[in-house]
Amino acid sequence: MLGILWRADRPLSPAQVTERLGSDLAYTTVTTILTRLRRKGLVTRDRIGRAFHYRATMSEADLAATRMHTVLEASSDRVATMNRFVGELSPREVRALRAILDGLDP
Amino acid sequence: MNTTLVTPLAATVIAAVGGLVVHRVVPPRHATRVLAGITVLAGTAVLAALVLVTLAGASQVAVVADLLPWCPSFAGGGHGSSAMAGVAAALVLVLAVARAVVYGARVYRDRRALRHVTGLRVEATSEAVALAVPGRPGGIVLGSALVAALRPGERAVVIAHEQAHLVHRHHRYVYAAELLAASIPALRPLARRVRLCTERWADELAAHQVGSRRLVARTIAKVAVIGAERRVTAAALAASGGETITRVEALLRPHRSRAGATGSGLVALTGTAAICGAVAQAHHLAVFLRHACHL
Repeated sequence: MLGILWRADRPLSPAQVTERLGSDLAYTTVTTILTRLRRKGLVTRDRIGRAFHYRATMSEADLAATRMHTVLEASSDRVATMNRFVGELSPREVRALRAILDGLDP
Repeated sequence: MNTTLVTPLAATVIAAVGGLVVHRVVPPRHATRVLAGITVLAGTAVLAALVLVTLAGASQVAVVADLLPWCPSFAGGGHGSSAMAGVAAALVLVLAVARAVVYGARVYRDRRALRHVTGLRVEATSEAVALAVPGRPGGIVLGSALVAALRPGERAVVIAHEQAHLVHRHHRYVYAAELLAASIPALRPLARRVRLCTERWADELAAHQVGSRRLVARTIAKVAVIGAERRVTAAALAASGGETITRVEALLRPHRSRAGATGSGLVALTGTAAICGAVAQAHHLAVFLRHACHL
């Protein structure tokens, strides 16, 4: 849900979030989650018209600004138990992926 | 070797071998659960068998039998295992527990190191890091260089993927399978597939959310290539079962519903075998203890 708000170029109403989620989440569930996210400070809301519209507090500009943390500085073996977006790769696999990537690029 | 020990182990082996192909015929969200279940059941069965052989072997040794006065039928052996087999099983068992403890410590260390991560967090690092930190509410860590290298749509893919891990609590399946695989190395191929299935599951949900399988496939390939370029040491590019290629190709294949009957049949077969193997083995252990120790 944060991803949806983050991608949106403007604040979204709960109805719009529900629509973009495209899942079977009910409108009330979405508003509940948005309320919780707001309590955690991850989203803010503005009143636009009659409804509250939500947006992610961390914008892309914030993302470009880096923060120093030591957690990940150690070797790549670090946090190997967690789900990483991409795991270990062999050189052969990298070549194959590069080829696929070239084929996909518009 | 006696049949009461070998027959359930055979069922366990059938389950494990069947489990190796489950992810090919069952959607990832089901395959993850089935595979994690098989791994845990198979691990339990093997550990129970090891305990049984250890005890049966130990019963031949007078010193051990003397230590267990509440087990009158225990002494004198005759429980189907030689003392040597008992010693061997005991060694394997000790090693298994030690490796499980090491794995548990690694999980604890990793989670402790990242326990303050909630929400989306960008870390200043040139490594192509993107990972889901389990917990309540959990969080996502992205490397700053990776964020900078990705287009907004691709970032959305990475975030949707990691969010899927958190929402569906994928770490529980991975931890359970890897803990058993750490203690019994023969289960490692199964545990690797559990991890692969959680990745595929998250890929599918990300594709659903961004509305493009192609975009997800391209993002995975791009992050992988960036990661390989940024990696400092060649040593890090070591073992890989080609999981990333599998994920990309699965996304690029036209989406089709898998062969339902084959999948259900295989799940039924491997699931039944795994349950039978584990239950039989645990049952034998219980019977042995009750018989020998009049519990």
